[in-house]
Amino acid sequence: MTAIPLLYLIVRTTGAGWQAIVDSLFRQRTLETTLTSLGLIGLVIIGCLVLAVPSAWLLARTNIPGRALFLVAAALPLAVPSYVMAYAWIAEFPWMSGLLAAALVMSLATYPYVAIPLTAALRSIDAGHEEAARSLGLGPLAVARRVTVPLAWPAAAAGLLLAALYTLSEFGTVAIFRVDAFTRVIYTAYRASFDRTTAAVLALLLVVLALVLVLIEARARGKAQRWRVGSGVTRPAPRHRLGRWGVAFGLTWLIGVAVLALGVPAWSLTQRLLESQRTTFDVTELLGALAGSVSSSLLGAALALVLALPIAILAARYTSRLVRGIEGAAFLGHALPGVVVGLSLVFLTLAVVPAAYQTLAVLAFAYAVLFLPKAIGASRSSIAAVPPALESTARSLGRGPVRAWFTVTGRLAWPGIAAGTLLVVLTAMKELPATLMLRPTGFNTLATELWSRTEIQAFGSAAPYALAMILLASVPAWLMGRWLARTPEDEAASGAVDDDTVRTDDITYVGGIR
Amino acid sequence: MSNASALEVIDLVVGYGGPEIVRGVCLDVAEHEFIAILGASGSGKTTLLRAIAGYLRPESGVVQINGRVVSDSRTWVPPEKRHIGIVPQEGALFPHLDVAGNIAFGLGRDKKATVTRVREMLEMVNLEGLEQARPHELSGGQQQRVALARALAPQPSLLLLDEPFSSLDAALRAEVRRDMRSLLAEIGTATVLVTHDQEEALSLADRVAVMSQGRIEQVGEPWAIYESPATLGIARFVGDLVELPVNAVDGSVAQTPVGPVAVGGEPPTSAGGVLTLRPEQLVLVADRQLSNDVSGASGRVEAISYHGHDSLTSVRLTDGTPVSVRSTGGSGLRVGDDVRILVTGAGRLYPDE
Repeated sequence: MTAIPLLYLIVRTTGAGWQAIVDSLFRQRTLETTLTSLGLIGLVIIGCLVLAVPSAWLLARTNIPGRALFLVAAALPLAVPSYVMAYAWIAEFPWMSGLLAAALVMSLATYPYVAIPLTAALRSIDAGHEEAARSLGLGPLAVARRVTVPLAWPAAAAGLLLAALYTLSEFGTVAIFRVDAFTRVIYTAYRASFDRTTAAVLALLLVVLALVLVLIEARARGKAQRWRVGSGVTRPAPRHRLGRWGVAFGLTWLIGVAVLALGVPAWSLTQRLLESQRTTFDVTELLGALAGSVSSSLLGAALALVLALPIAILAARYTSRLVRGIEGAAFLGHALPGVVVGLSLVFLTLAVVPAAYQTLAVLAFAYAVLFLPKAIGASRSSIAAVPPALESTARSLGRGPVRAWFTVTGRLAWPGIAAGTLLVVLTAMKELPATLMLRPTGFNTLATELWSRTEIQAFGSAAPYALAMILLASVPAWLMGRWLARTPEDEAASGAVDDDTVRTDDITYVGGIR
Repeated sequence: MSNASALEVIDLVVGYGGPEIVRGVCLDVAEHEFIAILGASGSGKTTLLRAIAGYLRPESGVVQINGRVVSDSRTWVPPEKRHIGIVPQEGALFPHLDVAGNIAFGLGRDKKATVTRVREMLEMVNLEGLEQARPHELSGGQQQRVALARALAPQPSLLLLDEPFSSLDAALRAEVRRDMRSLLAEIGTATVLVTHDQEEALSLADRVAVMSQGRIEQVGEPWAIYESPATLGIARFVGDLVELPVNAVDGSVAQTPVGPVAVGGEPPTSAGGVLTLRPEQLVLVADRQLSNDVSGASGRVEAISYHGHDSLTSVRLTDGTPVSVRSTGGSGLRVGDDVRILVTGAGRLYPDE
């Protein structure tokens, strides 16, 4: 499935002849583009770690006040399209431009991919492991380095991979800050100069880079034993009690991050919104775009889930080479920029099923291809967190394979799976280039309306769409934050023990957003 | 055999698509019988259990439960249709369900009957009133008992125990083991226990099957396994062993460094080999008490490990052979004492390896 756009790329490229390929591959420009993209990824990875690691530790392991609120704040940037964020920053600080500006905004937009799974992972590590390490003579820092980091690393690594791939295929932000990374160069080549061979060659190079990233992540994850050995049920680590200064520093940090990631865009948007009062504004247009966003992204997410679950189940339980290959191929979809997926699907539908050209089905398919990795990543790790013995025991107690899966593994893994599906919905709402190319005529989403207004510098009239989009996308982010905030000890404290609504152990498996 | 066996395994071969892990195992478990499969790790015992449970599909061979073929070259009954109860290692309780939910997991939809059955099961395992408890609130022993109650609730015709005591501490292990044994004797469910702990196997089971390298090497009652091991390997595996080189065999008496010892079992065919004795077959007498009596080999005490109810004394004979002797209570000896060693009962003779 994911291979279709890739196959088109290869056909398209080889069709141009080897001379043309070699010519475009060995131009000075190609090297510059590669270095620019790699540099941007490196900066974003550093930025994500700097933003996410202290936040995750504070939220997962300390008694800092307002944890639930800050968890929501940590998830919220997912609801802000990075190009909206870029636009908000440049509207406030017009001097911003270039690599560093793009890296800052991309880090702020993508650090939730690391912070949220890392928080969940830190929460779900059995206290026993760290206590054992302390008893073996390790100090707190040594425990962090030799136990906590290795155990939490898979969550962080998968998040970083997502952030890196996201950066690699991001178009809006690099265009706004005029950074000549792959996507911008490819887009320019496609649109302006009709030089599609160069674009295709660069896109293939982009795919190769993504492949390298996937391999690095796979190696980092290694053959780590993914289910716990040891008796009984996981006991979460106790929260570290912060002193007065600890609370002060912690709150300063969390508020600071929230201001950068949410405050600045919110302020800037409010300013533009006030400007927009002076322009005319059509509510029915807004509602139409809203309906478009919701329907297309839900459809895409549903399709992605259907495609992702079998792969995730296989990948969580078996690590055979074939499964790894399938999984890796699915991950590639994430590295194909929306531009490429969009255009190749236009080509394909016109060539194979012209009737499907610019229909909602093809758009949903594009979303599924683009965001399959998110759905797989989340489902896989939450399924892997469920010990296989539980499922086989359910079988011996008379449940068939499907029922056993749904009542035990699926039941325990569903928060992670649902979180993954929500991520797909969120990201699909923000998708721009493929939506622009594949949407049915007259079909608008919040993203396309926002873009067409931004393109003509109508920042004021674009603001309501940006706001609507952020609000809409906040709902799932808010729900996700609430899951994470719900921990066993908090429940015990509130005394709420109700079998149907309270799920004591789910938090353990929310680790699953990885 | 008049009745159908609870479990019958014939020529079972299991592999994971690669080398065979279980290589031609035959096993017969009668109704109400408790059988232990004893083997070191890697012997294939857990794989055998998983094949019986239906988690693995064998390459060949037959598995019958209560006279019904559940697995052969044509038949394959999935685990949920085998009516087998399993207590996995570590219990594997469902963390999202409370104790009642765990026990009720394999029961039908009849709510009233389920509640009654759950209460019965909890009573049976002495955990009354813990219906609402969550697995993580229970101790290791309680978790194991809930796991047992969960496995027995649907009244399976066969119970499989996969090293269920290995995660418990020693005191608890003995207690849980004893409770489980008397409970199973009472309800009479045929049981297969997989373990690497010889003491556990010998003390719990009606019969013990010793497994090694994918094969069952000997099946028998615990005393037979302990006293008449089929091979030197089994003899070493199922308990402490004194191994003595044999110089000559005269009829059914072997000449050893501790003197002539009767050879039990089949009359010996070889003229040499290794004679084995259990440490409790040897008696130590302090040299000074013997005065002029010349019987028994002399040696010197090298180490004593005292266990309260008995003690194990390491003695080196004058010719250099090491021998360990088990005595009830303390032996009254000290390291460095000169002793004589007397042998009671017969030894087993194995050819040199």
